[in-house]
Amino acid sequence: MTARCRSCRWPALLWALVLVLLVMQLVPRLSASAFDTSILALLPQDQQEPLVERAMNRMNSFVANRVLLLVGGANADRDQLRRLADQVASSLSDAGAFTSVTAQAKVGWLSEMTTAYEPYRYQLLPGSTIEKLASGQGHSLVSRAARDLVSPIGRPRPDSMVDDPLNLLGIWLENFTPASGFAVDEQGLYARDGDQHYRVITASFAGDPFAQATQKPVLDAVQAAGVLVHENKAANEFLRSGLIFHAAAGAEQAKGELSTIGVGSLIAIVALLLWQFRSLYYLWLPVISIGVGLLVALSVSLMIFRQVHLVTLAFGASLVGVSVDYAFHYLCHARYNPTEGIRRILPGITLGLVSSCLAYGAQALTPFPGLQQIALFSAAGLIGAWLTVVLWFPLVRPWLPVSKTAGQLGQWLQALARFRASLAVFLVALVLVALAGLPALHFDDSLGALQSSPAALVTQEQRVRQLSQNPASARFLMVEGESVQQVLEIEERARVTLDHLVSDGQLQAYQSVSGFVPSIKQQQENRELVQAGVYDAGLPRQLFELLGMPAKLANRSALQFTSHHPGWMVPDDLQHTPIAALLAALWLEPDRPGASSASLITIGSVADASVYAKLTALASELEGVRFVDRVGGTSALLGSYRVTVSLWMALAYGLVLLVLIMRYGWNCWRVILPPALATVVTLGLLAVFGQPLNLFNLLAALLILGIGLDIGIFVRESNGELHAWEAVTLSAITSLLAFGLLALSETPVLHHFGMTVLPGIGLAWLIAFVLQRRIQS
Amino acid sequence: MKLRSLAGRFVVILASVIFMASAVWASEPDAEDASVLENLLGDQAGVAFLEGKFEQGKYIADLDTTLDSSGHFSFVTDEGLRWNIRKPVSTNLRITPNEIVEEQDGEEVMRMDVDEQPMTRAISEVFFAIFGGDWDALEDRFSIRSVQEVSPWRIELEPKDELLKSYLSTIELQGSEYLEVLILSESNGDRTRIQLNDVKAR
Repeated sequence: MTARCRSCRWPALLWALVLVLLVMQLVPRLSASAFDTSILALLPQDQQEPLVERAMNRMNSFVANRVLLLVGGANADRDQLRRLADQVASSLSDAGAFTSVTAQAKVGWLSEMTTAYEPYRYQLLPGSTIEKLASGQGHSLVSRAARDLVSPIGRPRPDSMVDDPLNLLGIWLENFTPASGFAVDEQGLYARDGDQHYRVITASFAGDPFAQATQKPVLDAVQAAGVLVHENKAANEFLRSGLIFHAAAGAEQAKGELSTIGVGSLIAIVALLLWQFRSLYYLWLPVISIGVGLLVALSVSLMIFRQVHLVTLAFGASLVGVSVDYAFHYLCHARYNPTEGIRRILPGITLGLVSSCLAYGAQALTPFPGLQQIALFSAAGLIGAWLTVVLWFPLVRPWLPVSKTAGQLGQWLQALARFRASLAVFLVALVLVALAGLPALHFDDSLGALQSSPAALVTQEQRVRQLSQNPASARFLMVEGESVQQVLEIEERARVTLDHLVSDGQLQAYQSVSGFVPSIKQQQENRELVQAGVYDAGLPRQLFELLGMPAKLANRSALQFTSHHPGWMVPDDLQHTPIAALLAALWLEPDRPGASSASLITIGSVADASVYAKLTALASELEGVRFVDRVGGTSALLGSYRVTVSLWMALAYGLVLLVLIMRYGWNCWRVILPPALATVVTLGLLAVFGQPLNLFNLLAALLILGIGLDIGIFVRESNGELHAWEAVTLSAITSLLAFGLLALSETPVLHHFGMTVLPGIGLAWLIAFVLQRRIQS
Repeated sequence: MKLRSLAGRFVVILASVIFMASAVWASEPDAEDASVLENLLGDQAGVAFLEGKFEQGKYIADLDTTLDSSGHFSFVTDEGLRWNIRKPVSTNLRITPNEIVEEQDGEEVMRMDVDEQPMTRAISEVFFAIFGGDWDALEDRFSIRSVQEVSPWRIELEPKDELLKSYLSTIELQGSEYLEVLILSESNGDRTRIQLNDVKAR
């Protein structure tokens, strides 16, 4: 024995060295930024369409760094609410977490816009004016202008009567509302719903909304504001809207679960081992193998991917249930067989490792970065634990206490073996129920089912959206063209349909660059229309006559028109106006010379989902227009990958089967049946309970394959010896503890995973138990 | 901000003036009251109906000409104010605490909700301020720039709010026994003078 151990000293030392190196490169990488909490990072990069991805990032930035707070109360308490809004705004500013806080109206907004547009007044016509002039109804503009001048509530005229007799500029400016989509009164932004009045406070902050460092000060400031509102008697509602709230809630949930699941399973395992082995040595060894496994997993993952997602860590906590298999197998074996070395169980655990890595490795082939991370994390962790068991445990063996008689667990297993028949009957019943349920199997790939924000947050978000005309960032139109002008022209063609939808009441609002700056082509047409329909038709003269003003003014205005040539307006002309930021956000510059330009048209709320179908149709009709539906697109993606994973799982089973046939011949059915049947029965049972399946249930099925195989292999390799049974039972229970806790998770992804693996492992163990020939001691 | 919002500013002034005027005709000015407005314009009125004629002259600064218009108005407590222009164009305005409607030849050409425009909200508040005898509310919106209490009295009011002030510089009210003249001075140099004649109360 001593001689054998000497030869295994060198590899053990080498392994220790490798570990030290891994730790050394891990420690500097460990910081808050090493862990990713962004949900978006779990979705695949849209490799084929970098422009769409840029557009999506741009849309995200609209909402990412903004927070909307609404303070609501009865309509009668408007004044108090206004004062409260001001208080809240100053409290937020004082907190120092925001770069800007607004509760007041901007006084100079309109005059700045007027100054920018004024030179181009003959070229800027909204759709209604174009219609009137084109259809020869220009005289209605004359009477309107006259009424405006004499009436006390007439439309204000930014320009003099000579420069702009029909007040075209005033009509053009009327179309603009502030970009935030709320209504404006002299005190600021507000919204009204029946008898409820809301004051709106907008705030922007810098930094990544998914980063803990950004979230804390922002959330604290909003919390303090909430206290202010709560204490004020006039206010009865405080609504929050903003991506950062969801991000913080998600991160908290994930972290909370990380500590419950990870810590919980660890404690349960410790208790289990102490009960089974009644010796601390036996306790420390699995802990060491798990610890080393996690260490290797984390350092390899950080080496390959710069960041590890929190969801990956959550699954890593479940790794515990799997990597202890090897430790248990060795320890149970060592307990009864102090003289035999590791060679006895080496084939078993090696085959187990290979089969589990095959099963998890399948996930690395999905285009989901999160799943790739999990695949690498778990494979690395398993290999690390295996190496620890194989290289280090034999060195410790001389100190391990030995027992000749079966432990508590062993006795129970032997006793249970007598009930095999009734267990088999129970199993058959389950199988029949599941098979009956299989036809009812249905799938639900929608992204909505994976949404995990707290219900209260989601309700508030929807309410705020209802009260404002804010565009949602998940669906928008993208217009691509070779030049700025081409993009604007295509936009104008698309806007014909959009305007129809708005006037029909199907679409609340939309925003586009060409709405602020028409294409040059359109401006040229407008000017020609004004020439023909206004000045050549003598409309200014009619107006002056009507008002009893000198006729020579008409000549002066005509002269003004013909001599005024400001050139054509381009988007850059609005660079120094209040809407410059909005225009910059809607425009995607070409990222390299020769690439196309693109712009975004943001869409407000719609009457119903059929509008999206119309927008899709619009996109297919017009060249250069694309309707991007992230929600629908991602759901479709999840669905197609579910199909891919199911095909890949069949392949994984096939590969594993080949390996097993090589080793066991035709008797391999006893090894492969437990996981295979367990998977089918689990899916059937889920169907019976009406649960729709999605991608994550199928990924869980892969896990059942890995763990179930371990059970079959270990038992087969040792010919049903008691120590093997103890080992697989222990590992099944620990896996159940680890995955059972996942089923309690509020994150739908983890929940689906747990709900599948929990019955799956239980059934795999049961099937293997019922199938085995005997339990030897 | 919707440009139509600016439209509301005129209605504020107009409506507040009319309502103040109706208050005047209903009661005597009480010289012992603290508030200046109350001094000149009297206690709360319970006027059910008020009507009269108006003549408006709008001086347009950059053309150096005056645009004249005239018509008649009527005020009914529960219906609001009607402002009917007859010359040089014909149009009818109806202003209530909830909305503003414009009609021409019996057809409705425009309807604006009070809350749609920043300024129109101010109208209904001023309206109720006058009739509720709540002079404090009126003084909330305007500060008094100068007062001449000797008949014919003159009050110059200045808007307190920045937004309103950017379009309207001052409002001047003149009268002897009752309100006769209203002058609105805009910040771009234009000036509107409204003269109220043949005013009857019921």
